[in-house]
Amino acid sequence: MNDKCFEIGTIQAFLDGETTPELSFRLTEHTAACDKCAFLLAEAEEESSEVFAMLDRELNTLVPTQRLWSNITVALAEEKKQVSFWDNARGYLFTLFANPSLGVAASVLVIAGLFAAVWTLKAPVLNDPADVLVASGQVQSPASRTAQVNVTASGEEPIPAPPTGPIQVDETNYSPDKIRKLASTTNYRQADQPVRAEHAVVRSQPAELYLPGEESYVRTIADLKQNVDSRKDLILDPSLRMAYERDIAVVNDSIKRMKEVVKKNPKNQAAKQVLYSSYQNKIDLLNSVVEREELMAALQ
Amino acid sequence: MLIGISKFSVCAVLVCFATVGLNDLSAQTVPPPKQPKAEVAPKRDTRVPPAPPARPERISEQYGRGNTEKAIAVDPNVNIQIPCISQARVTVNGWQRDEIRVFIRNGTSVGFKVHENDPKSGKPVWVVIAKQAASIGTASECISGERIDIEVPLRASLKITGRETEPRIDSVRRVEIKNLGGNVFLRNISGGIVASTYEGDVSVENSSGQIVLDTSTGNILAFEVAPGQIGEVFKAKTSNGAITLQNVNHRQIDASSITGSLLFNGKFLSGGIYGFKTQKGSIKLAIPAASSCQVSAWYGYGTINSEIPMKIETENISEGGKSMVARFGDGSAKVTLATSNGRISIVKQQ
Repeated sequence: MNDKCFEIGTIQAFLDGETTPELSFRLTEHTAACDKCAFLLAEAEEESSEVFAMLDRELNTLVPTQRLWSNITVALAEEKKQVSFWDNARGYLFTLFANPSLGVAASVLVIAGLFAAVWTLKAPVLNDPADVLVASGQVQSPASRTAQVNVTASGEEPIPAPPTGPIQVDETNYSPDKIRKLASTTNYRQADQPVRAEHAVVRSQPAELYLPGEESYVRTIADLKQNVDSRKDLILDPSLRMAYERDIAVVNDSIKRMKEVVKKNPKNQAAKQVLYSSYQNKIDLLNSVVEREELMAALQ
Repeated sequence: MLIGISKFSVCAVLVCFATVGLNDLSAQTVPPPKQPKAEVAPKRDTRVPPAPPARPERISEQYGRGNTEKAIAVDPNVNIQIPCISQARVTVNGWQRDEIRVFIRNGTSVGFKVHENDPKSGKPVWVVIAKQAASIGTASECISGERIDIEVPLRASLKITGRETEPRIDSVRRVEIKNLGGNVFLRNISGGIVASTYEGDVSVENSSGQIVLDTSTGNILAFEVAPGQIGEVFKAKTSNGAITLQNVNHRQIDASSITGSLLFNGKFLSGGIYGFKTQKGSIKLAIPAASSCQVSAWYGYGTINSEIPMKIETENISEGGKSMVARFGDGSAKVTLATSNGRISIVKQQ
């Protein structure tokens, strides 16, 4: 034993693998020369093996060392740094509403808000012309004149613009029943009438019926066209471009006409043949542009 | 004294000017020295001399700046590749020498790259003609010039890719040419043709083998053409031009155009399969009166008429989808005619 001897704690840490590489190196070097420390190390090693054997039997797990604890702490700190604002807010709210009284209060507030929203949506329209007329009592007058409110009885005509200022109510010659009838059939709507939400209805387009094999033509053409349209100005000079557009127009016209014929009479084999031939011509045309581009690229 | 000196100097200056003037005059009267003779390109030997002994690559750059001539001894069945001609009028002629000779007028320098030699003779069987000191596959390998003349062995196969060229190829075994723009003329090609140009006409004369001709904007003309072996086909396709086939003796012909018309002047061979399609143009068949074929015609909004009596087997006349199947003679060949908007006419061969 000398001044360089290590304490039992350090030896234990060495056995647990918690010492730094430098310290481990010094310790092994020293124990090789010092019998006392070698004995301490052997004793500690024996104790450790016994303890680990017992722990293994009891817990079937490793005892977390100091280094493991420090690693866990560092990992937790880093994870905390990476938590987003919304996660923090959510955690805070969950903690807050874990209190029963606060939870009840929040529930009451939410229910009250929903009730208010429903009440607002179902609020009656106060400026209905018929109601105004009836409420004013002037429609009962025998000398009543034509109402200033522009009421359209026909449902087909366009909706007139709503009055911007306050509605001027005047006397009318119409009987109350007739006015009620007009008001019920009018298509006038208040501008600020609340728009009621409706369920979205997805109206699927009727699927285009393809002839056998036609769909593959259409897909191929769509792919090629997408490829060609973006670059045809660069690939084709004006004269070629004109010829190309003319040919495409001819082919498109033929496809359109033949499709109509086939639609009318699906058993018309001649029309089908010409239709397929037109599709093939269109593919060839588009392909020629692509091939030209490839050749240009190869020659550059 | 000073006055005397100044007079003297004035006189001396005048004498000097007079001397210089006389010298100029005398120089004008002297005839100019003989200019070197303008360099004249030597006449190319188009005759057929006897085959020379094999000799190494010969370089004779004696035509001054911009003119190049090079030659190399090769195997008679050599494959020649010209990967890029940027701009030139190209003439390729076959000759009986086992030698490739390239002459470029006012153009880039050219070189040969031998890719493979024949193991027996040791002569090149695969040669690339490209710009000198250029590596294959790079942009700088394009050759160009005012004119490019190439002589190759008669049994040579040629593969050319060009940008703006007008190739005229005569008397080689096989040609494969791809051109961005320019007319293509091919004749006496014995072993097949694959020719495509995107803007120009394609003409083929007196050739044989499998033939595939393609142009985007241009006409196609083929005459006196025959297959080299059984089963070889003839295909011609143009987007915007007419196709004229005269005495094309392949048993399988496929010709199609979009806005052009088709003319076939020849005979349908027994067992042959023939297809002529156009979108908007007319189809005209000039065939012998004693032809034997079965014609299936789809003519959409078009019409059909025949000078030669035919036996109509089925006929469907409905708007936009007219069709007819008719038989001439025994009907030994199958002919398909399709046009959506044109006229089909079958006439007697003159």
